[in-house]
Amino acid sequence: MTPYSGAAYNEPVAYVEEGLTTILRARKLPLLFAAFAVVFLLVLALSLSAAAAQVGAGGSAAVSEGAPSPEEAQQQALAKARMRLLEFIPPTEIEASDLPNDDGKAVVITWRKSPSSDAEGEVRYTVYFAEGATGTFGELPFYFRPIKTVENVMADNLQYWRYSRKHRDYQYIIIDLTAFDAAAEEAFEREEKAYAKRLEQGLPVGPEPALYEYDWDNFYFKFGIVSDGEVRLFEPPLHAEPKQSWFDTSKWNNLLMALAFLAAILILIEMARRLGLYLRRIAGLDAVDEAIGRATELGRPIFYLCGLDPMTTVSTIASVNLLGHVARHVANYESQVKVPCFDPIVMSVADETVREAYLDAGRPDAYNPDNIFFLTNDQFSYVAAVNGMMVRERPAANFFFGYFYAESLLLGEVGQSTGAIQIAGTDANVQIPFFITSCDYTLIGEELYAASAYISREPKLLGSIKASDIAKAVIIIVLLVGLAFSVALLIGTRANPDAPLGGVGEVIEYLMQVFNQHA
Amino acid sequence: MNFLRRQLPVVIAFCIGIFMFALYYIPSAPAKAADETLNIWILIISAFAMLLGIDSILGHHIRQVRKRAAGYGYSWALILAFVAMTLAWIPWWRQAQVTGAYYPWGGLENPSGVFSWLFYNMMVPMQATMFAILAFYIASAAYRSFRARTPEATVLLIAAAIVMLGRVPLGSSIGDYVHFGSTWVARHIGLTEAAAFVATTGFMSNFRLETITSWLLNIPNAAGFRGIVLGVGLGIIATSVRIIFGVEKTYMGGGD
Repeated sequence: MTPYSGAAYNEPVAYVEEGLTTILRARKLPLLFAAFAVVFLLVLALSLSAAAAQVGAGGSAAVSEGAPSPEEAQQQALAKARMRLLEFIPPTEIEASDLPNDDGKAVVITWRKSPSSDAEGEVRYTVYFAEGATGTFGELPFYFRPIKTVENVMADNLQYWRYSRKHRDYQYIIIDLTAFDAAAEEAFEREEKAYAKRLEQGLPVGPEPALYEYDWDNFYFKFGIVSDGEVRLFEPPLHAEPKQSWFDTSKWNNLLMALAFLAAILILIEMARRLGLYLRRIAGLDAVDEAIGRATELGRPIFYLCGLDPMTTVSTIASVNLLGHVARHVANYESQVKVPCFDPIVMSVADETVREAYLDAGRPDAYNPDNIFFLTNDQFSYVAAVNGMMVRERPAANFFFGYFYAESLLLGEVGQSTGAIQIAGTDANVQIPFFITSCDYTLIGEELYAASAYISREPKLLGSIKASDIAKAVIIIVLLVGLAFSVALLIGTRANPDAPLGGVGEVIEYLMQVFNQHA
Repeated sequence: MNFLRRQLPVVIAFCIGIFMFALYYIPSAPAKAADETLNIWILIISAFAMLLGIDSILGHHIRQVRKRAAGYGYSWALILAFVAMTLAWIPWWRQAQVTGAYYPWGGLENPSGVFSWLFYNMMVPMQATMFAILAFYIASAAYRSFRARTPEATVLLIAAAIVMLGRVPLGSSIGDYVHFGSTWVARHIGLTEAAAFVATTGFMSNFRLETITSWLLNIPNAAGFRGIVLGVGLGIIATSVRIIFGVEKTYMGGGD
């Protein structure tokens, strides 16, 4: 009686079939037909009543409100859109120009804000283009979302224009000319596929499709407004030739600061050579020697991890620099350092660094190439492998120097459970709390970069650390001055919004912008 | 030989470093092209370096097996897994419907292939397992950190408790009850004006856990993070200058 009971998902079917079989065996077929008929009639009656209610409601609405037909409604909407466009006061000073500080692949259209403001976006700004001044203006060949009349205010976008009060009422659209070429390529690929398909099917074909090449220097634009598909374009057509820049003028302040910092570093390196400089104590680095000594006493290895970032990252370079010093101490102590690497290039550099360090310490015989090895460049596979080694080999000390991600806590906690001394240093600020929790000592942020100088006590390295300190002092002063400026501006603007602080406000705004832009 | 090992790398680092520094300020097309070319070089070098990596790991484990060193069974597991994944990846060739050209059909592109099966049924669950262990380690690390042994640890404990409560619905409910309770108490002890002030001005919302959480995260926490980020930025520049100008040469081995 239960042929379907084996499969759980067939049980409902089994029950229905079982029920039907029971009814048929009980010779209750007329009863079954009657039940079907009742259900059918019920569904029919409900459907008819619903349809009648819908027709009645539509009819009564049509009669009572006199609603227009769809065509009439569309005409009315178009008329409203045209009216909105006509009522819109056009913006003034519409100009097209080359986009400054770029690689010559974009132009920008700017205009002074229209007094008609439409935050809802019923009227939006759009751009049409043509090739040649007398060409037919049409929509841009790529997707372009018309912008609201309150969007793209220059004052909010400091990247392209210096913040100046006269620019506050201006808006802009940047037109990326490479988008034209991309659209042409897309159209060409589409046509080529259609052409190949027609050839395959033996259907007649026209000329073979060719890639259309736009002449960027011959582009003309018309700026306009759009509402519900209706467009109003403003005359005259706009034209600008894109030009590439050889210096990004928006970064001059950055260059100035970089050069000042560079000069400070070089001067302080020279000063450090002559005078010697003091560096505050970093407990984590003082503990490195202690950890190496402990490893020697216990006869267990030291694990040194350079992080997960490639050799192009400064934290990895700093880590490898520190590895050189650690390896020299390890060689002197006749201990062993193992460097499981996440990146093959880092492995090669670490291998060379450790080899040279052993050579430098006069212990080339103690160098074991098997101790510097590549594991994998998959994050969690790497963690699994390192954690496995930690549990099996019970290292006396674990050094985690470099850039780490989510694996920081996994590595730190397993190392902690094995009883090893753990010293970490990372500039990944999200991972710092995890290392602080699970390691004995943690170098926070820039201390990692200072580590090499601290351990070697080389005057020329110490100089750069001092320069960083001076730069930090300058930044603190700038922050305090910026804070004072902001408060003064806030108070001044409340008193006189047009000329805060009697015109000094504009100078303050300019100075703040200079530090804000690319600094 | 010493020139190749010592001077030449410093000269290359100096030239490329200054060139890359200049590229940051030059937006022209040739500068961008040069930047892209150098990035492609890095990718090519990385691809070749992977051969070094494979040589390193396989060589290491083959030596382990030969020497029958302790735990050489793990080395066998690695070698076999490496061979299995490599063989499973070898692509079949498939013909494109429209152009008729043949293209490789292997790796993860082929969802019914052995490689895909191994990847999705072995690699992905194992990676997820490793990641999942993090939940337990967070609990054990939190327990160690939040023990109120010192005044600093006590502050950490209080701040953490507020932040944890402030991020869950329970914290919000506690705020509602405190607000209702303080209004009720003020009214029943005859402080009608105080009750009205509390009820209408939203003054108590300053003491809600989610408000305090938001303040803790956005003001002291963000300030600390920004300080670290500023230091890191300057440290990066200082380290870069040391390397570009050849002041620091430890990465080449053999001291400064």
